[in-house]
Amino acid sequence: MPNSNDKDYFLLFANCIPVKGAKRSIICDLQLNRYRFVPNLLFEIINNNRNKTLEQIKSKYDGDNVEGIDLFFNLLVKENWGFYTDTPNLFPPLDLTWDSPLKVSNCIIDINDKSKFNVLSVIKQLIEINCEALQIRVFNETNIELLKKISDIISESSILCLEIIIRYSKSINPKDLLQLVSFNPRIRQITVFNSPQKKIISNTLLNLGFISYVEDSVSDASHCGVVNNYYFDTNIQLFTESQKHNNCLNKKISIDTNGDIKNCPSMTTSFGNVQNTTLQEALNKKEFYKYWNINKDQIKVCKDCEFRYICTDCRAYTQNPSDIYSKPAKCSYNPYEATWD
Amino acid sequence: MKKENILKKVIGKYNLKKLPLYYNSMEEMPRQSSIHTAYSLKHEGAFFIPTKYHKPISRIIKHQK
Repeated sequence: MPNSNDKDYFLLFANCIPVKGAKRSIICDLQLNRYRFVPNLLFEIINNNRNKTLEQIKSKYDGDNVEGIDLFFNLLVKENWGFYTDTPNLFPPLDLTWDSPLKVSNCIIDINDKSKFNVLSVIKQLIEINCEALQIRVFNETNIELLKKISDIISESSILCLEIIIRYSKSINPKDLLQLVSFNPRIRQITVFNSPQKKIISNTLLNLGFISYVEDSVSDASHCGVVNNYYFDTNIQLFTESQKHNNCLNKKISIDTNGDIKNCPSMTTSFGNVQNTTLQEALNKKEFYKYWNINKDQIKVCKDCEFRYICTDCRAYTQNPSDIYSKPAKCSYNPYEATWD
Repeated sequence: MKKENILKKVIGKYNLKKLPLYYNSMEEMPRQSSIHTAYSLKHEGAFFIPTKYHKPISRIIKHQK
């Protein structure tokens, strides 16, 4: 049992932040990448009584709730979410401002058998504008030589993270893929879809990159926009970025299979084609930034969801395409009932 | 109170040694001194090797719930 007396204060660790939803709340642990559910009443108690001692808090509630407060606080201490202290001023809240010096931080490049643009030339442009994360999605069968060339280009560049999503092909040996991630630790993940079986092959030596074979059938960008708890990320970068920005489209640039430069390959607006427009020229257009500052607090239904700062948004597929603030169409979570349909 | 003075006071109060700026993972970083964790993350540039980008770049694979 944690030691406390009624003159103490209960505090969550600065990087454990409660988020209130319509039906229930969560505490997001931005250090240990986890979250836990708590009742909305506990959210109110923690959030509204930061500067009050346990004694002062308990005096506001009746018998049953007082016992519940003790039980819950002790549980949160035991589970390493918070602590008791007599000097709460020494533990100010975490600064949630977010900023990035990068013009663009992440990029999606889509390729299929009809793509005519030079992907290596696009990647060179991304490096020139200091993009740090790149995802390449190849919808038709590809070859290991192209992947090796991409791997070579990004090594010793600004791109620190490369994810590759490719269609299963008997001509691509898993050993070649493993060699690719072993030689270049910047390749964090290779996902092979349409695979006959589900399996994961990891680089056990460095424990960095891995190859994931999945049975999902993917044919084009229209499969994107999935919302489920597999994709939740509880970390300080996403949580702080989500406070004021669209956590999918902010600092993102995309190239679709035709070479059109877009916010996201699934969106319709093109800002030029890479065959006659540079990425920088597309970024110079004011309209490119239209979605960057739409945060979850502005989006219908999402604004009442407890997961809103750890779940990435989707503006490409929405319930009402004519409403820029409509709920993501592929989200089946109902925050008012706390159920997944 | 200046941030540096708050930090000194916390380190003194909880008998914390001077903490390293480099960690192999987030899990290794100190827990009790949440103020230090916060400052390390936000202001002192605490460094660790991330195992992936901090958010999904796209969500085209369904995965299981």
